[in-house]
Amino acid sequence: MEDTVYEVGMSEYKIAESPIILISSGIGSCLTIALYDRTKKIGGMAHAMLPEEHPNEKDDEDSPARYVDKAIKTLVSEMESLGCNRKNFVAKIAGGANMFAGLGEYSKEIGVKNVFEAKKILAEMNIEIVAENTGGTSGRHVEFDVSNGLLSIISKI
Amino acid sequence: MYTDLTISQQEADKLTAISELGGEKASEALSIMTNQELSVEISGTDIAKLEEISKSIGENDLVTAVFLKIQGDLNGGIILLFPEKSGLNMVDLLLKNQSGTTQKLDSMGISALKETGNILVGNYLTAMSNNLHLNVIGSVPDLATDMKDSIMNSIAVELSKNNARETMIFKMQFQVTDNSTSGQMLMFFDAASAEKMKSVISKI
Repeated sequence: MEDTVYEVGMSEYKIAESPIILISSGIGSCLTIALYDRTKKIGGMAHAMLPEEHPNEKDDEDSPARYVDKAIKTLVSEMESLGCNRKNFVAKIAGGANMFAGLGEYSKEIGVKNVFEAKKILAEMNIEIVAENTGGTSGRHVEFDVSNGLLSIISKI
Repeated sequence: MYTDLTISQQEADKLTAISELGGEKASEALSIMTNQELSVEISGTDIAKLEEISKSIGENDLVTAVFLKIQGDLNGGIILLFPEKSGLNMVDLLLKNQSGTTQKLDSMGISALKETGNILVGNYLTAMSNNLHLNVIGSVPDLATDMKDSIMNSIAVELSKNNARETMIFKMQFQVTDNSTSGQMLMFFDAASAEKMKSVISKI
């Protein structure tokens, strides 16, 4: 049987139960955060663009996972509302590359800041990062198999 | 502060006309550089959410991208996108090699493509500067070969400065008439730049 695949676009998140595969293509300086509850076989993945939500940000329902901090909090609370317990969560993160060496101060550090923010928020929530593939100068295509928690990454060589 | 980007149909038409003049200058320059005839298609003015900019431009294949920031009175960026094979063919055209000679981008090829970026963007922005009476220049070019979506999503991040959610886009597609090489040039401007342009064109 063919696995069902859901695409997680930029600034989006999805939560799914086994046997779904969540896919995020085109990760550059963005960060994908995958959370997995091994006991329930429920997983969630977010494709966040920027580290932190601006204090005066206007709400944007089209972009619920634009920010790493808000995306992680949303994933955790929605997975808990499905009966998961964050004590059983593990996290995997991928992305945060710097694709263009000459970009200005603003976006040069965004990839690094996205990774830093994810680590900070996950530590505050006591969720362990069990795997990480971040940084560098190459884009990534990420597939998250919710049946077993496996996160696969494709990069060009 | 985040400001909504809005333009009327009339404004869009005027801006498209100005972009077309820049596009014509850029394609003339490319035609001279490569000594080839080009077919060029310039599309209208679009407003797009940053999250959507990659979706409108083809499959997520490997592309070679040359990116320059737009600085001065207007802010934004210009990206030249070549399908990977077309990028290699373009290097052969620029260096007057026999077609198929370049199989991998070396430092010579990278320089040639960056210089192409400089010349196309320089011609485009000079025409725009003259027509809008604004001072606009391109930054030093930057090059990457990678998945199209990864590249465009990184550009979206660069364009998200000042909490921007949207961008104004002009597009130009070009093809060398022997079909060996094709590419796109995309010009992005932020909301403040769109306002400045609207103010100028209202007096034209």
